[in-house]
Amino acid sequence: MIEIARQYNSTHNSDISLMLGWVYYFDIMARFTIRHWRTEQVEAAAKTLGFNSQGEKSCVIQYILARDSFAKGVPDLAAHSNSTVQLLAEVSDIAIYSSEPRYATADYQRHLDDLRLKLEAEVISDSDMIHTTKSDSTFHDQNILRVVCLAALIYLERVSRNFSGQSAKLDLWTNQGFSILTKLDSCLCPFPLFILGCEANKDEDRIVILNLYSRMENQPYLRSVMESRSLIQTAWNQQDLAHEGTLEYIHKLNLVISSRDLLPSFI
Amino acid sequence: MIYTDRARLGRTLVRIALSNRSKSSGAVYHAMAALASYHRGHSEIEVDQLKHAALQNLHPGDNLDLYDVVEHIAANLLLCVVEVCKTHAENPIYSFNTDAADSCKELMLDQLYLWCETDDRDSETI
Repeated sequence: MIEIARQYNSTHNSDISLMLGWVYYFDIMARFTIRHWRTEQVEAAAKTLGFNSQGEKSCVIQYILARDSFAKGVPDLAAHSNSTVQLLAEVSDIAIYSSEPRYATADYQRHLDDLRLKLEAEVISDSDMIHTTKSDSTFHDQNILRVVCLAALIYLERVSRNFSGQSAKLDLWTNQGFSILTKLDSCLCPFPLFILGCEANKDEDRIVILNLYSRMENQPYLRSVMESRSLIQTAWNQQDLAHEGTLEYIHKLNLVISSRDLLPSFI
Repeated sequence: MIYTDRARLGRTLVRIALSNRSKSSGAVYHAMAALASYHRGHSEIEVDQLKHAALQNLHPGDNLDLYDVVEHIAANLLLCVVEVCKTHAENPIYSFNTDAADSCKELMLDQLYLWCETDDRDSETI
């Protein structure tokens, strides 16, 4: 159906473009979770503890189908999405492990630098818009886009460098992210909540996250992101139980995302 | 969806669902109803009946026009959301190396309301 849809010369604001943008978003978020799902290291830990590391039968089938589907990719859908989603797609495709052939190549490192610069530019441009707009809805939307970019920067910095400690850059992005979250009544995009939640190691930062979820709970139609709260709480448990500095960032994400019997959904 | 597209997506889905244009627009209608029924806490049987009603209307023919394609994609993605909601509500949390709190399953999302929400801040209508 998507192949047929792509044959039509759709304009950016058309219904078909909107639907293809939606497909693209589903695809990116699924790719993000599947890359951290039941890695070999996690599977080994699960087996040791007596868990069925494969999950449900239906999940195994879905996983195989998804792997097959993602191996092919869904080309040409990026044009139906906004620039922030396109950058998120690139971030969701960065190499996780040094064993990947591209990991140490100069071209790939340049690509990462470019990606970082684009995300930083996006944060700054959104920030400019926030100061110039008077519309509440634009203010909210731009804040969401900004917090998505900040979360993408944090993920990029940590994963691309396999870095689990603290740095001035990470502190800046994290503080900016929390500062935005305090202003929001809702954030229906689970990705930035999850990434920023994983950075919240101090009580005051965790309170920012929990307060935002409390505000969302008070709104009857905003219950979609509660699974991400549960994931964040799992991350906090992992963090609190680990000896200081011993829990690697990538391993933490792998454990948290693998802690559900089915792939968590960030849609 | 990243926020800026969400409101437009909701309005578009409602417009398609209520258009009564074709079988596949009926599929969008039933898929939305299945999602709403799920979040209303209706029985699984009722949700499944609506899902099946949506699926029965999703038989792509040879001569699909652009509207058919949009409706098929919309219905399929809505059914994906229904499945994601249902399966995550039914499945447990593992704890690999911690005694992770057995957080009770959270109240489930009501994305239909979100998508169909009349956004007071936005004057654009369906």
